[in-house]
Order: sequence, then structure tokens, then C-alpha cells
Amino acid sequence: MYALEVKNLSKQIDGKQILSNVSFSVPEGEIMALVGPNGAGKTTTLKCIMNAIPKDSGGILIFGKPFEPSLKTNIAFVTEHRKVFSNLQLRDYYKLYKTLYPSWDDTFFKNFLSRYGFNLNEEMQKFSRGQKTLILAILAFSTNAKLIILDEPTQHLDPAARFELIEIIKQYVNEKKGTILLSSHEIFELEEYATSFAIIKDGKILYTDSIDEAKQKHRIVSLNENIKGAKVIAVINNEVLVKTEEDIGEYPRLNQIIVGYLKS
Amino acid sequence: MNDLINKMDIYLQKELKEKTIRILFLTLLLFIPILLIKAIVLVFLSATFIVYDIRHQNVELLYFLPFSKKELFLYNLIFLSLVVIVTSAIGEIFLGVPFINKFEPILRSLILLLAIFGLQMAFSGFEMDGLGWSAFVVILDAILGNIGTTDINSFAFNPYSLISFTRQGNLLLSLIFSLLFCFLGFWSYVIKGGEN
Repeated sequence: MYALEVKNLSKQIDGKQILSNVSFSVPEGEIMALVGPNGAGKTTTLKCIMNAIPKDSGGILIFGKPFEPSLKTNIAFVTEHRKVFSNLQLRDYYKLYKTLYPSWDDTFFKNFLSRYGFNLNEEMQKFSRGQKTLILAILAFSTNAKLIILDEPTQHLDPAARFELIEIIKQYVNEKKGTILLSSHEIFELEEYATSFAIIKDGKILYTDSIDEAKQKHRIVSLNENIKGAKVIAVINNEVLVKTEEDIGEYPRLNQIIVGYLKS
Repeated sequence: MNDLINKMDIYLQKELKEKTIRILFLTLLLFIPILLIKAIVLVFLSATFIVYDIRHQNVELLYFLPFSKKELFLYNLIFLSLVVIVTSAIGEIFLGVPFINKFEPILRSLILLLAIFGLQMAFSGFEMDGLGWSAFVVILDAILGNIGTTDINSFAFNPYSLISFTRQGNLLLSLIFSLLFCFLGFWSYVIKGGEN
């Protein structure tokens, strides 16, 4: 069963084709990373999933159903720019989320609040960007939503907070059987927690697979190695990333696969 | 039903906390019992809520939460209607006119609100500036509506003055005209915006 299926999603903004037939799916209980450079269409894809901007064409199924607003009680979203409502305190955000999400986990939220010493009476705007990232992520995970969408979740976090957030992400999937879709630039840390990925560039999905399958299907070979029958993806420094079923060369790391496709 | 009220309540709390001074100031101005002034105030008051969020690209924060566009449209309309009814009714209490006549100014203010809010949401749905364009249409309506008379037998009869939401030559016709704008706003913002 898929938590999310995106089929041939297309979107134009001001005459510019931002997304072109974007398709990928996120099985339940997985952590999928949408990876790509700036302006690739990651955020637009996430916004289309939430119907924050209307899509031009294509289909989006959430838990097997076409998007309808009532499904949003099972989806929590953390935005990229950590924009917050002005003049609202953390207490107001707490009330807002608690009211809107029926499966709200008060204990989880309060534990994190006390661990980081966040003050409920503090205005959200006054928190640093890193603090906002952490607070918004904690709010999202406290909703107990079945699907959590995180736009660049580890951006602006110090190493300790980043480690903490990655642990929460893993815990949420392992213990609560939730599903996560996240966008990220941080290709070196993805392997630590993501289970599948989709590479997006210029509004098109270049490759999507589970990390394990992708590693099975690709090899890193040296430039002078015989690669007959293999499909060359890209040359990375003095090595070549190829797609093959032959047992040649070495298994690639996830970041090599991503860089290879982005360079292709 | 309880959930719906809680949701509306939390949304309005957020709006009131975010925009307190502006809402208070404009609400006080609504007590002035002159229709043209009410029209000007309503253009700004109505644009203080969701239209403000759309203009300042903050509305996505609401879309990422479990609010539908339909709910946001209705919460705004219900709250603004309550503000208009209360401010108009309080003024009327102190006037010594027959009871039934006290409803007329409330209805006139509601006609204004329906048209202005509908226009703002319609323009917003078409990704145009809801405040600027609605102000332009209100001015246009005031000019067109005030040409000639509403007397059908007069040489200077102006049919538009009957439906004009600022002139309101005929209460029923201008109410229907305003409801059309309101529906246009709903269609443009909610239905065209991807919610069936």
C-alpha cells in the first residue's frame, strides 16, 4: 500500500514549466527523499501534494484516495523557509495544532519542550531559524499524522539538533509505522535515514528507487574497465557510474548515484 | 459540528491575534452609519483577513494545515458578516425608527460585504490583487450606480443603479447582484483553486 502516489504531475508558473510529468510513489512506512538542486521543483511538488498550489495535470493519490482536504488531518508539513504566523506565541501554535490534529500526542510534545527548554510564551518569530526548524518539526511529529512532509528538514540545524531530528525521523517510522517524504540537498546524510529516493532536476524525475535496489542496479567502474552491456550514467572524476546487472566494479554510495544522475 | 466550531474558533483566534490593531480600528469605523464610508471601510476590513494572507503569500501556511479553502472562505464570510451585523445593529438600536426598518441598514451593509468580499476572493482566485482590483470595482460601481435615477419612469432612469451594490436602488436586485459576486468569489477561490 502506498502512502502517496504522484502520477505525471505537471505545473507551469508564469509560463515556465516547473514540473513535467513528475511520477513517484512512497510506500507506507518508508522515508523517501526527494533530491535535487535548487529550482529543480522539489518544493513545488510538495506544495502540489498539499494542494497549496493547484496542479495543471496529473494525479495525486494519498493513502489510495485522490486529494481531498479532510485527508490533511493525516498529513503534517514543515515548510522550507520556516515562515510562521506573526504575533503568535509557541502556546498559540500548540493550541492550533492540538485542535486541528485529532491524534495529537501531548506527552511527546511536552517532553521535547522541556528537553530543549522552549518557552511557550515566546513569540514564534523571535526564535532563531534553527530553533524554528526544530519546533516546527516537533509540532509535526506530535500530530501523529500518518504522512509527514518535511521540506529541507535538516537545514539550519546545528549538528546536535540535526542528529536529534534524524533520530526522531527514524523512530517515527520504526515505532509508529509512519511515512515520511522529505526534500533535501544534504545528499551525504540521506543514506543514514532514507529508505528510498527520487532524483529531480529541471522539473523531471531522473531516477527513483529504494536505496538498496539502486545500489544493486549500479556500479562504479574505473575509466579503462570493460563496461560492455552496461548503461553509462555519468563520469564522476576518474570513475564511471553505470547501470548494469553484471557484477563488475564496486557498489556505489548513494551520493555517487545522485551526483551521477544529476550530472547525466 | 463541535469540531467545525473549534476549527473556526482557532482560525479566528489566530487571525485576531495576528492583526489585532487593524481589525479593531476598522471595526470601530464600521459604526459610522453612512453606506459609502462603510463600503470604503469594508474594502479594507475584508482585505485584512484571508485576502491579506494571499497578497502577502502567507496563505500557504494555512494550506499546509488541515484547513480547506472552502472552510477558509466560509470562516471569513461568517466572521465578517457577524461584524457587519453587530456594528450595524448597535447603531440602529439608538435610532427611533420602527422595528422592521431597523433591519434595512443591516441588510444594506450585508449587501456591500457580500459584493466586496466576493470580488476580493474572485480576484485573488485569478491571482490578481484582491484589494486593489476590488477597490477599483467599488469606485466603478459607485460612479455607474450614481448616474441618473432609480425611477423607472424618469428620463434619466439608470437600470444599473437598481443592482449597484453601493447605490442599492432596489434592495432585492442588489442583494442578488451581490450574491452573484459572492458565488463568483467562491467559484474562483475554492472550485477553480482545486477543491470540488
